[in-house]
Amino acid sequence: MTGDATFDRIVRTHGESLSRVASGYARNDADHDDLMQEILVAIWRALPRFRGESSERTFVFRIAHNRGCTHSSERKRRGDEPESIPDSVADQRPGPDEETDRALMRSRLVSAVRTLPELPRQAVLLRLEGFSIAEIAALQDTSENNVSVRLTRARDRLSELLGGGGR
Amino acid sequence: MINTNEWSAWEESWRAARTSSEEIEELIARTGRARRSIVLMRVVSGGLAVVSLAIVGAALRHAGNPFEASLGLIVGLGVAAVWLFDARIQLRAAESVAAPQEEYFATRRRLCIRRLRFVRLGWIVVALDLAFLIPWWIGGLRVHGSAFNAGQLLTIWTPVAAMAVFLAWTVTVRSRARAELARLDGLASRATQH
Repeated sequence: MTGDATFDRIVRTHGESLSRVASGYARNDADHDDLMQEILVAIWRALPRFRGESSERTFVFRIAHNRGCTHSSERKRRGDEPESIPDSVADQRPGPDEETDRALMRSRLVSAVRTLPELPRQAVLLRLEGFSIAEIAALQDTSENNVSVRLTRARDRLSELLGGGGR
Repeated sequence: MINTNEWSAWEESWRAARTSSEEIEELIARTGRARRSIVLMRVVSGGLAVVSLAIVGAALRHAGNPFEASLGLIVGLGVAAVWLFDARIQLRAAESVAAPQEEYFATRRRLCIRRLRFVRLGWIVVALDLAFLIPWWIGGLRVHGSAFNAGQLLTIWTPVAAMAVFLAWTVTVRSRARAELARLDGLASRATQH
C-alpha cells in the first residue's frame, strides 16, 4: 500500500476519534478545524518513519495529543480564552428533549475537559475513547498507577465542574 | 478506585459526537491541499538553495584573487550548510511528534535551540555573502557601468532581494523559536506537577 493510501486509510479508521480528541484541545469549535488539520499533516509527515514499534492506534493518538498540547499552549499564549462551560446549547436544533439534553451534556463535558492540565486531560481523552489503563500508561510512557491517580483526580475535577456527585 | 458508572455515562456522551463519511472525505481532501503546499515549499526551498549556490558559483568565476575565491567557497559551503541544517530540523520535528510526551517536549526544546543556532549561522552566512559580493558588485559596476540591465538585475538585485527575504524569514523563525521555548518551559513545569 502506498504512503498516501495508508494515510487515507488511517484518516478513515481513526478520523472520528481524532476529531473528538481535537475538540478536547481546541479553544473553541472554530479552532477545532485548524487543529485537526495540524494533526493530520503531522501524521502524514511522521508516517514514512513509522516502523510499527507501537500499534498504529498508539502512533496516531500520540501525534494527536502532542500536537494538541502544543496547539493549546500556543493559543493560551496568544491570550485566546476557552469557552466557558455552557448552561444551554447555543445551536439547538429542533428535536426531542432527550437529544437536546445529550447535546448539552456533551458540550459541557468538552468544555470541562478543556480546563484540565495537559497530562490528566490526555489520560481522560484516551479513557473516553475507550483506551485501557495499560494502553494509556504505554502511550504516556508512565506507570499504570500514575495513570489511575491522574484519572481519579481528573474525575473529581470533572464531577465538580459538571455538578455531578463525584465518588 | 475509578467510578465505572460515571465514566460510562461520560464515555457514552463523549462518543455521541459523530463525524460523517462526507466530513472525513472533506478532511482528506483538505489535508491533501495542505500536503501539496508543503511539498511545494520544499521544492521552493531547494530551488532557492540551488539558485544561491549558482550565484556564488558565477561570482567565483570572476574572483579577482585567492582571498575572494576562498571567501566565495566559504559562502557557498555556508549556503549549503544552512539548507541542510534546515532540512535536518524539519526531519527531526516530523519524527519527534510520534514520541511519548516528555520526549516530544524535550526534542521540541532541542529543535528550538537548533533553530536559534540556525538563525545565527544564517546571519553569519549573509554577512560573509555581503563581504564577498559587495567588492564583486563594485568591481562589476566599474567594468560594466551602472546603467540598469538584465545582468545587473540577476547579479545584484536578485541576491539582495533573496538576502532581504532570508533575513526577514530568520527574524520570524527566531521569534517563533523563542516563543515556543517559553511555552515548552511552561508545559514542562506543569507536566512535573501532574
